[in-house]
Amino acid sequence: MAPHSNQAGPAGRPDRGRLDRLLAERGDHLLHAAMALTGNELDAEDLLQAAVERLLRRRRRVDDLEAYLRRILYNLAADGWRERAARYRSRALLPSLLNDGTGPDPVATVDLRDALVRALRELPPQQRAVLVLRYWEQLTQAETADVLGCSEGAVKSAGSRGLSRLRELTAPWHDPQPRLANATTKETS
Amino acid sequence: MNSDLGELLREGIDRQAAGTSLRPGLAARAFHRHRRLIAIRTATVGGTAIVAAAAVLTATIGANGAPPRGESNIQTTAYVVSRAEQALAAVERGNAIQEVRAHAPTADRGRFAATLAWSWPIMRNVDVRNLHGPDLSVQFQRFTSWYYRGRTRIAGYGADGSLVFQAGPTTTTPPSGRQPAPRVVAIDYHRRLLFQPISLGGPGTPRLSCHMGPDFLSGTPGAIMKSSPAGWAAVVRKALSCGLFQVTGRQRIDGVPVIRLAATPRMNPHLAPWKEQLTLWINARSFLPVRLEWAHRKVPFYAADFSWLHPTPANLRALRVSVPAGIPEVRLPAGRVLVIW
Repeated sequence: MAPHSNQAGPAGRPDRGRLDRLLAERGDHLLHAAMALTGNELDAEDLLQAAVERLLRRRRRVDDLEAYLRRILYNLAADGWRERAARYRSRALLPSLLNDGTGPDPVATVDLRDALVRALRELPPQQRAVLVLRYWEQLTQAETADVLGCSEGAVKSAGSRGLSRLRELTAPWHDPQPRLANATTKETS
Repeated sequence: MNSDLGELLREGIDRQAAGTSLRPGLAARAFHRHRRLIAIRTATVGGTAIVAAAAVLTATIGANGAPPRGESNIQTTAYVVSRAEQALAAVERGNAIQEVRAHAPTADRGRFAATLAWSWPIMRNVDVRNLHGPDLSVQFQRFTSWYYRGRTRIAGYGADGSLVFQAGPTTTTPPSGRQPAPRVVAIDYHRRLLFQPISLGGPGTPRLSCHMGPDFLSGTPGAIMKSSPAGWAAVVRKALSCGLFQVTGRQRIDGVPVIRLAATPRMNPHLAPWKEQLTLWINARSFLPVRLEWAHRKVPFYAADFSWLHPTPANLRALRVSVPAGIPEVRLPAGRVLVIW
C-alpha cells in the first residue's frame, strides 16, 4: 500500500478529464482508505466526494493529483468533516447498517481483525488517520507527518495512543470465552 | 506486539474493503456541486444571493417539505433511490431482519388470501397453472412477515387479532454462518391443519410495470408477504428506470423523519383511466423503507409498514414457527409439496 505517484494526466489545475482518469485508476484504493477512516461505504463515498470538491477549489497547479487528493482526504477525516459524519451516524435508525454499533456486533464473526476495524472507529479522528496511514498505507512517520501536516512527534504520539486504545478495546477478543449477542433490544422504525 | 496489531489491523481493513469499488459518477457529482457553489458565489457578488440560495434549497430535499423540481428533482430522486438500494443490499447481506406489517384496507374486501396448493418440489418458480389439489386457501385481515437471509415467516391475523395462519421454519435461524435446511410448515388455525413439507417458492418479487393497469404492481399480495429486501430494491430500481418516482417532500412517521417518493405510472392508452399511485416513504437517515402504500384514486388498498431489526437471538426467534400440540398433519400425495401462492 505504498503511496502512488501517478499523475493521471498532464499536470495543471484539476480538470474533469484528469480527475476521471485518476478515479478510474485509483478510485477503489481511495475509497478503501475512506472506508477505513469512516467505517462504512456510504460515509466513505461522501468523504471522497467532499475531498474531490475541495480539490476542485484548488486554483493553482497540482502536479501529483493523487497525492494531493489523498492529503485532502486524510485531513478532512481528521478535521471538521468527522463532526458532520458523527452527527449523522449518531441519529441513525439502525446503527449496525452504518457500522456504527458500539461494542461487538453480535452478527460479526468473533475475530480479532474485525474487532480491530470496529475499534478503529472508536478512536479520535486524528489517531485513526495516523493508524490508517501507518499500518494500511504503510507510510513512515515522516511521510505520515507530511500528509497530515503535523510534526513527527505528533504522529508518534497519536499512533502510540491509538494502538494502546485499540488494544484496550479489543481486549475481550483475547479472552478464551467468545462473546456474542449481548444486545437483545428490538429497534424498529 | 505493535507490529502484530498493525498487521492484523491492515488485514482487517483489507477484508472490510474487499469487494467494494467506487461507483461511477462521483467526479460528475463533485463537479456539479462545485459549479453550484460557484453559481452561489457569483450570485452573492451580483447581489442576488437570496435567489441563488433559494435555487440551491430547491435542488436539495427541502426541510420544509417543499418538493424539488425539474432536473434537480431527478438528481435528488436518483440519489435517494441509490441510497435506498444500498441500504437494502446491506440488509440482504444479513445486517438486519426485515419485518413487514401489512393490511389491505379496501382490496379483496379488506382481506389477504393465501392460496395453498400442491406442486412438485423441484419447481422453483411455480406457475399457478401447475398447481393441483383442493382449494385450501386461507384469508386474513392483516399479516406480518419476517425475512432474514433467505428464510421467511408469515403470520396472518383475523379481524379480532387472532392468529389464523402461519407459515415458516420450525427450526432456529442462526444469525450468521451456514444456514441448515429448515423444516418449513404451514398451519391453518381455522381448519386446525398442519401442512408439511411446504414451499414458500423462494422470496417473491413484486413486479412493477411502468404503465398504469392491473399489472402495475403485480405479484401482490403474495409478493409483499414473501419479498426479500432485494425484491424491494428491484421495485425502486424499476420505478427509477421508468422515471416514475419523484421526491414529493419530507414528513415524519412515528417521529421518524422520512422522504416521500411517489410513483404515478404512465397512462396506458389501451386501458380506461386508472388512477393508481405507489408511495414509498424512506427513512431520511438510514434510507430504508418505512412505509409502502398502493392506492387507487388516493384510497389505499395495500399498505405495508417496514421495520428493520437487529439480528439478535431474541429477534431471530420471530422467524420461528411454534407448532401447537394436537393439530393433525395433512398427508400430501407422495412427491408433492404444498405451495403458498
